[in-house]
Amino acid sequence: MGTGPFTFVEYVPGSHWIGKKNPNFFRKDRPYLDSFRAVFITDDAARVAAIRGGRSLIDFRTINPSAADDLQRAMGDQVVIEQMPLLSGETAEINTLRKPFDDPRVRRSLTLAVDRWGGAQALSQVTYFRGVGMSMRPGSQFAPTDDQLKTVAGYGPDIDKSRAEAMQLLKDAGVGSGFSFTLSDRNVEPFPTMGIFLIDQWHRIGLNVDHQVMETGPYTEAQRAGNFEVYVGAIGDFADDPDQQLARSISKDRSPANYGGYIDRTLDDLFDRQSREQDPDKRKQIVFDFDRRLYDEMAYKLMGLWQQRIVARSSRVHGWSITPSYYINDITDIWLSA
Amino acid sequence: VQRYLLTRIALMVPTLLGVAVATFVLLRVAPGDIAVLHLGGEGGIVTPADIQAERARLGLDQPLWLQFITWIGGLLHGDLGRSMWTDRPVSTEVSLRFGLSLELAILALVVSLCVALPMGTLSAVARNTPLDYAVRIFSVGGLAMPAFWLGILLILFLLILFRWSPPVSFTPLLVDPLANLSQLVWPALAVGYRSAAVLARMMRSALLEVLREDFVRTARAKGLREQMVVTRHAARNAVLPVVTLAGLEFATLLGGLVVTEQVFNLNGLGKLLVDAISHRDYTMTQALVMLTGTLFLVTNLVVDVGYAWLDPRVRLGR
Repeated sequence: MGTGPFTFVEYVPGSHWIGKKNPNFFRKDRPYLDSFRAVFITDDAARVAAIRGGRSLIDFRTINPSAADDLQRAMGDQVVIEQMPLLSGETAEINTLRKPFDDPRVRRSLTLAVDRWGGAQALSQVTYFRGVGMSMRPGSQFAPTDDQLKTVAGYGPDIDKSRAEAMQLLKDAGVGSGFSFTLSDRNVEPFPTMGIFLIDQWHRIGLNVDHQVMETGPYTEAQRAGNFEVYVGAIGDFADDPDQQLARSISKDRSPANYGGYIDRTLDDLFDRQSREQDPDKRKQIVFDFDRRLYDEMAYKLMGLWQQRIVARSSRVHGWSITPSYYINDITDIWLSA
Repeated sequence: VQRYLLTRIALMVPTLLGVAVATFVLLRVAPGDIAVLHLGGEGGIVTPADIQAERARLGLDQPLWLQFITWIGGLLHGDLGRSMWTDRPVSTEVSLRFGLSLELAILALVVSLCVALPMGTLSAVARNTPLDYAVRIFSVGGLAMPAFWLGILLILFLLILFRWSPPVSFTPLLVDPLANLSQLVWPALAVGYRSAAVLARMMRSALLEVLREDFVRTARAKGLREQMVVTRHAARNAVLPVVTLAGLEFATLLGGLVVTEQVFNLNGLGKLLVDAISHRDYTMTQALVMLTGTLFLVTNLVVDVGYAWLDPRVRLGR
């Protein structure tokens, strides 16, 4: 659009966009396509059926692994499945102003209870969840290595040891076995899946968690009003940039997206330092220090799992490269074979 | 007749006013704020000042009574307002989808009537025979099976057997009738099955009742053939409650096919209403509820008038 490879033809709300080749595009031999039609399909099964029936040639949103396997089985070499870690992951945001979550020991126990490595292995068979990480997308420039991660609470290789520590912390904090609280959640996938996973993990250290699934309106209102104990939140950005990913986790008085309610000047200082740092290696270390304080020492929130972007496209489509965000798709170089 | 129609139309006004007040109040009472969802629904970082400015832009900082009067005033002038979510005129958004929903509702109703009337009749005439049992199993299946699930099965059936799926974007009937039908016939079958089940059961029970009436015995005593007794005398009387039910089904089909629309990727009114509610798009939701309410009232009126046409014993207005 605009000075891009295609110009606007038609937009029908809820249905589709149509664009046609921009004859004045600055790259004279591009784009290859004369036009495109981008169809909005909200239902997962309908999107997969559209690829399988040849009604669409590529699906920019991610599809789940079992649907990808089905497509591969049904279409053979007529479909190409590509995947990479998506810049989106689910978190658990804790209301640090409410008892007993004002006690770091209780919050730390929540993260220690979660078997991320085992969860990623199991859930990646049937859901979008695959990556283990903290604030930065796994495998991205500023993300820690797996060895570094394993030194952080809740990321250790021995889950039994972690859970034993979690139960001891709960006991020390005076929170007895069978303690109940509510996990607020959004009624849009993959939020409920993450909610169910976390509830199962917390049940293993003796916590009883009520799963309250809401539509988006009441869900966001509850966050803003501080009317929650713990809720399933999300990171969803378009660039691997620590400024973007960490901004929602600094102090409440600096970030309107911090619904946990905490003020932590150490975190703020680390955020500012990484933002100013020009050496990528040093910046990566500061980001790690930030995450260690956020997820381990103070455990203000916890990271669940990161998602995988799985894109199905017809083998007729060439010249497209997968990106870690479905917000960004360059179709300039796409061409179709017969 | 004219007086009856005028009275019925006049009675629609307080009904619609009640619908308007209830919709307006319930939407404001429900938790959720379009300003918050608009600016930060997908995790964006927004300040309270941004939200306040957005609320002011949408007119939500006005007193409730003023918002209501402004909206009703617009309605009386034929102005449905602008969608708070897309900022496009509500009438444009609705007209984009109304054709599809209307066509789908008509197709589904035609499918259901074509199936239900003969099946319900055969089932009643052949009561407690294997044919009757088969029809009853068919109709229980239709009631038990969600239309969207049947829709998914239909799509899979087409994909697996024919490697074909319905088109994913809508083509109007007048532009390309074949493409249009190839897309809409499948959802019409899926939702028509449920309606057919409802109507077939009603047809069967109504016909069984009528077949016990004295005039049917008289017709048989006159020596009329059974086919004539059923089609000419009994079925005409039995069809009256089916007509009422079909009218209500039609109004439901017009705006209530939310999940089926998603399964077949149809950009219809049901999907628009669900999106509007989840976005807390007050103007759009209010307009769609008023539209649905009006359709129900008009359908009821048409059904009542049709009743009198079908049954001369019914005297309008008495």
